[in-house]
Amino acid sequence: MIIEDEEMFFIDYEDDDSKIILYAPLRSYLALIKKELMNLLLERNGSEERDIFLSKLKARRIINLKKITEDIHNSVPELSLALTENCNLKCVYCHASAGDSHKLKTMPKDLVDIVIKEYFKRVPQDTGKVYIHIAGGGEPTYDFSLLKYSLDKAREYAEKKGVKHISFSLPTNGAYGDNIREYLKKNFDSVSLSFDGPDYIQNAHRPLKSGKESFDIVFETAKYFHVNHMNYAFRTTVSAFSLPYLKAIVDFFIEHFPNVSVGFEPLIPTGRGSCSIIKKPDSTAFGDGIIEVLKYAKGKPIKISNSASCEFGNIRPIFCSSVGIPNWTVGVDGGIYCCARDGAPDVFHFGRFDFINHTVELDNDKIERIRNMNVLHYEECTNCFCKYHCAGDCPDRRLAHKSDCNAIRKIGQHVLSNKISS
Amino acid sequence: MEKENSQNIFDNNANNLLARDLVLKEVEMGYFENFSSDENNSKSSFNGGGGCSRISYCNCNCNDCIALAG
Repeated sequence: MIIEDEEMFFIDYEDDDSKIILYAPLRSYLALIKKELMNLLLERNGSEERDIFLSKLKARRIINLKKITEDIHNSVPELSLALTENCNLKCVYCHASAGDSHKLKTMPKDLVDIVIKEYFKRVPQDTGKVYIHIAGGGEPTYDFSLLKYSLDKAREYAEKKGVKHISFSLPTNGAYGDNIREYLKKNFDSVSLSFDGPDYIQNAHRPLKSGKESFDIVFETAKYFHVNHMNYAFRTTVSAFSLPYLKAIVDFFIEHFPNVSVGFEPLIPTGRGSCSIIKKPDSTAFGDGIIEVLKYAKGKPIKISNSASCEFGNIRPIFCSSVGIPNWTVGVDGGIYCCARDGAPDVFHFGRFDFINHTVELDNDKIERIRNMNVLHYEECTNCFCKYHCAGDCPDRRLAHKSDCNAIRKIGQHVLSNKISS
Repeated sequence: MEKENSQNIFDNNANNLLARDLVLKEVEMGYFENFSSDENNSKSSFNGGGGCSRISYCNCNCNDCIALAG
């Protein structure tokens, strides 16, 4: 809410209902106050205490949201290459239905050439670092020769442009042997390994294409990443089935992979996930579960995150650079999308590579619409204390009406209460 | 990132609200405009150095996304 042009929020304090949390994010200020002060602040007539408080708050430096959004808009887009739709796993909840009969395509090499060439035309000469992400609905290592070809090509063009370093990253399912593991170690700066936990969960969620179990081979990959000190993290999808086992999942990761970051995200029922026997978790129960494991893991050698609700370390008006810049995610058909999610909505589709003329067509009106997908344009977020942390949640989730504000607020309240109490 | 009580806004004030127990505890959140287009990137600085924007921020529908590395 706005009190004398100052934005502040009052949040229930978990440990004592006679007190309340006052949060003024743009003043970088959090306080535990007596409700008496809240009432004084809400009174229009004014009081000495109210005046003192507001004048002191106003004296603090204010975060410049315009600068943040402009800096993001002015950045060079990150490039994501969706190399393939195919996959060697058949995860029951796969959003992309990867490997199904209608999802088998792989990006032609000549398209890889054009994309990388055109992308580097737009990178300023002698740029220090460029980020390239290998994404898509399929497993990026599925066509290993194409993966290696793509990295080689990127390095070739980067060298011509005087780029000092390309940082490659990718998500991966980990279902392969030492040859690919070693390649990833040598060539990728960050890797997200999809791994849902102990064998009874991983095998139920993420079987191989043949239907056999994937746990053993993925566990070996994780071990390889771990003992080789790679910069990797686990991405763990939580279903209605696995939600009761969150603590067991945490124990599993602590035992075998201490000090690694684990991102817990709820299953979203799209693609194969829309008709899977493994269902999405109840959103309130998911929020409660995340709070429980955050408490459980406190002081233990693990870092637990949830992307929409645990970002209280900074001010974030834009959910991701994918919409903020926007980034270039190039699909197997040459379409340019801002989002790496397979099957992204048309509003995210803002360009295309012209194979015949070797040109790039960009729709600037759509780019502007994409850039406006931020919390400063979401009326329903106006009075929410999480607005600069969840940033209105993932734009794609919003478009699909799958935002989960209750869980986000619940976890946010817990995070802020924790900061007050610690 | 936050520093507790490092910049209490009511310090040294004659009408100290802290002293009157209206403000019980303060936390300096340490926020700043933590995005920089230095080196034309959006990763190392977008999240205070904690990884790429999309990695740190993604909550997409993909169920299999890059996430939270670093």
